[in-house]
Amino acid sequence: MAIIAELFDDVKFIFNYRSKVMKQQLALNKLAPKAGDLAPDFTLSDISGKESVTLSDFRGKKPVALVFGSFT
Amino acid sequence: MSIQEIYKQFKEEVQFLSIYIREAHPIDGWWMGRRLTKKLMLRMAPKVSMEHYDPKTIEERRAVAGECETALQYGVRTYIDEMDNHVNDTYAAWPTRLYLVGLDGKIVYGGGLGPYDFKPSKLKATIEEYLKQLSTS
Repeated sequence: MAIIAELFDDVKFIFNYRSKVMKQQLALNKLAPKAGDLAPDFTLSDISGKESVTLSDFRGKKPVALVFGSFT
Repeated sequence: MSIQEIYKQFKEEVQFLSIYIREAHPIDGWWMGRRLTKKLMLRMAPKVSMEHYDPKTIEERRAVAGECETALQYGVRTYIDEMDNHVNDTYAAWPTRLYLVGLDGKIVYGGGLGPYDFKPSKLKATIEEYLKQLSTS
């Protein structure tokens, strides 16, 4: 019985959170660049904070694969 | 098919950039480390961390990104999105997403929203097709 209550509690938590975040993500997704669009330029620093990269620096040199993510 | 495998195969011809964005499931957010969901997550994504809070400063985010880089051993250099999450928002990247940008600076492939539409195999197929087009033009 306790396991079922725990499971229900977990599912409820996930569902509530998911509804909230997916709404935000779908709104952003509508504006995300699509195939054929110019990739929005950016400059970001590495883990040390000392070296940076600018996306447009690769134009004409190499295609770029962008892998977005986090540890969690 | 993993990102590491694709990276190893194409790293001479394609520049890979790993962009570290805001946390997907921090303890103080949409945490998946609760009881039964933790077990499910460990089955689906054994290398994911369930032990981190959402970084509040760029230094904290860099530190977590460093741990991630060490743990996952991607081999791909990691760059950190600023705390305003501008790049994340511009690319609608959260929680995880793939893009291929061509030589002309235009998007060749824009993957769907992760995790379900995070498909390294599609990225690989697009890279192969794109490189083939480049070699014949």
